[in-house]
Amino acid sequence: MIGKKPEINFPDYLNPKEPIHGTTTLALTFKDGVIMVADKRASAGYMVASPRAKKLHKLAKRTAMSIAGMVSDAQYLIKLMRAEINLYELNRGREMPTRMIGNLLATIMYGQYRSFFPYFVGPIVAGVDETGSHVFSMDPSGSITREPYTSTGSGSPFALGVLEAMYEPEMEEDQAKKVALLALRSAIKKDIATGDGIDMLIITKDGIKEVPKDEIKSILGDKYPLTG
Amino acid sequence: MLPPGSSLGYDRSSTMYNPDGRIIQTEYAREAMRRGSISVAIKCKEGVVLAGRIRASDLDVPNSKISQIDDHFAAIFAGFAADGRVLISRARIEAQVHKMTYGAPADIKYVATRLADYAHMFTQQGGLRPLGVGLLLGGIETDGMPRIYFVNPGGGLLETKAKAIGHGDGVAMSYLKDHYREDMTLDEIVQLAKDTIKQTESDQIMGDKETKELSDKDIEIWTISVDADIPKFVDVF
Repeated sequence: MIGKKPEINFPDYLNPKEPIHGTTTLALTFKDGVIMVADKRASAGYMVASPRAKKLHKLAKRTAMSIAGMVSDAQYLIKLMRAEINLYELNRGREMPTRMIGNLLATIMYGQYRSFFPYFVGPIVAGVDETGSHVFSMDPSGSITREPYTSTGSGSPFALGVLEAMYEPEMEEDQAKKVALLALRSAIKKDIATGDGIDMLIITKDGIKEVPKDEIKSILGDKYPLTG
Repeated sequence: MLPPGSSLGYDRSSTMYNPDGRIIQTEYAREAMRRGSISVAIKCKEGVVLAGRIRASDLDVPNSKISQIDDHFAAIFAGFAADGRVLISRARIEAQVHKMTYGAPADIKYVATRLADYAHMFTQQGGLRPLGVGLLLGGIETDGMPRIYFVNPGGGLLETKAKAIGHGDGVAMSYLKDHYREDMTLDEIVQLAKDTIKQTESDQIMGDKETKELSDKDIEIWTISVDADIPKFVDVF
């Protein structure tokens, strides 16, 4: 039959217009690079599936990725991207720029979307390369946008509210860290699927640095502990 | 007994070594490349020149020997024109697919490697004939530096500063070795390319040491300057 659309009924959770649930991750650019922050709760409906989930992942020397959505798809995409980046760097003898990593992930996700089984992941790719600091926001349809700051996951509306109010371009590192943590704190307090701790990465031209828990506590001061 | 110098039949398959460890069909394919009209690629700090001898009768409209692959590089070949055309069209597709996938122009070396992989396939698969063509890819690499790569019929890949392939390449290479300097200007390497091709012309006329004056329509020349504006990224955001 000519002209008949194929009837494929996606489950609701595969509808890319809906925000991807069960997490808050965010990234923002500051004067010297990029900051990424994520909570540690993995949820399954109303249950906490894990309080120690890792949502920020290093991909290359100066590029990292955050994940929200289906954990298996996300973990596979991390492994796939690391393999692609390793092959790129071995074959070409140079570092793969953040911008190319973002474009490649969007290409992979678009290809999957067009074969009717999209990766149910809302990734952020962030990092520093020779053309500057980058934060890329993506969705399961394979779209890619470059933002000064962005957030994904069920708590993202709460985090974005704080970022809209407090973000300024070219912030110093100390101020940027505080804005990022306050944004995540807002999501932890208001979103039931976000919580159980904070991971934080600082990416500059020198590489990726993990921020220790004690430092996160001291930045938040009397805004820590996060509940209550 | 077979006469000395015989290939003992080891040249009848492109997928068989002879006892000396050579694959004779692939060596014949290199000879096919050397029967093509001469092609020259030379680089200097200012850019790259590609030049080739056009051979055609007065009634034919000659095919171009040089083909643009992407904004930042081009290719010239020597050997079977049909094999050359196939490699050129693959190179163009590789360059465009790279831009779609990574949002950035392809490295010349990446495209050259893909073409060499393709050429290599013909030396291992039964029933196939190795490509009878050599290809010089020259242009401005994505790091902004001039680069030349040579893909040979066996699937070998070589980076070079100056190279001549095709009829008279022996004479051309010794002329290039004597006259090439790394500090040459773009104008000087254009002249060097022309002179190199003229050297092979005199060699072709047996016993006649006088160089035939080639007109502009006999030589096709392209230059690619490092000043060319080449985008680092072509992404859509």
